[in-house]
Amino acid sequence: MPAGPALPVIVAAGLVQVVRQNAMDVAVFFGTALLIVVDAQLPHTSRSRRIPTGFGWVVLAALLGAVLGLAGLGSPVTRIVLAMAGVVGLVVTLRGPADRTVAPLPPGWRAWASVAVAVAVWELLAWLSQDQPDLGNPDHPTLSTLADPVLASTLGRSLLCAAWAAGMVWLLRGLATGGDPNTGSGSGGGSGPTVPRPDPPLPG
Amino acid sequence: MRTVTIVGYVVLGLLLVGLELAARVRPKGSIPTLGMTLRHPMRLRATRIGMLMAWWWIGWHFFVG
Repeated sequence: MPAGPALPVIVAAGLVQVVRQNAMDVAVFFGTALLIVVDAQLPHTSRSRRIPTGFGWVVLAALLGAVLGLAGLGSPVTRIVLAMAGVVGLVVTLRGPADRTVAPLPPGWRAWASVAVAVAVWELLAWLSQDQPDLGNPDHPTLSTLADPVLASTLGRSLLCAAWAAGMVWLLRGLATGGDPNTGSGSGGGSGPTVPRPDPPLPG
Repeated sequence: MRTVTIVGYVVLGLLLVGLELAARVRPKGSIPTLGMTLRHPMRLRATRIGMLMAWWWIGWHFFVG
């Protein structure tokens, strides 16, 4: 079994998609769960991939955001760009290094986790208040419902798309290096130094 | 009820901003930055695959529907 909580979390989220009766989302979540299980059975190198960094990535994220923003919601261009971003991300992820051993985070990470769980619960409560799974309740809006008027304007859509694209670029760098900030030229911070594995005992 | 719901999102958003500020004001303190917190689980391949899917799905959900 793969290490970490990713698999049970994705399966649980996939069950929510079953309730939502969204066939594509069900396929995405359970397909990802299957990919995680298969990937855990395969051998992987511990070598990180070096990812080019610098101002070019900022330009790339801005361009991606502009294209998505100008193309319009659900347009063929938007679908193609998002599909390509997913394929590139998948290739980068699957070519990434094996599981790494790193120093633990400071205990304050629990504060981040607590707020993230609170956001998820608040969103879930709003979604549960809807009469239909895909029909927002204006009296108890989800983030999607609140974002709709922003996404309806070209400027708002472009800004949100650029933010999403910037997040994807940041994520790609982490996916390629296994979150190692010392590979490439990560922008400060990090998950802590890699803990070196102990040398094997000498023979004799 | 709508106002309460929106205020809830705003408060949670402000908490996230506050945590990031607290982490950056005291770099050696007990609160890691958001970047550190997100990079740490990336040590595991399973989490990397899950994080990619989650972020891609958010994009698809909002921009395609």
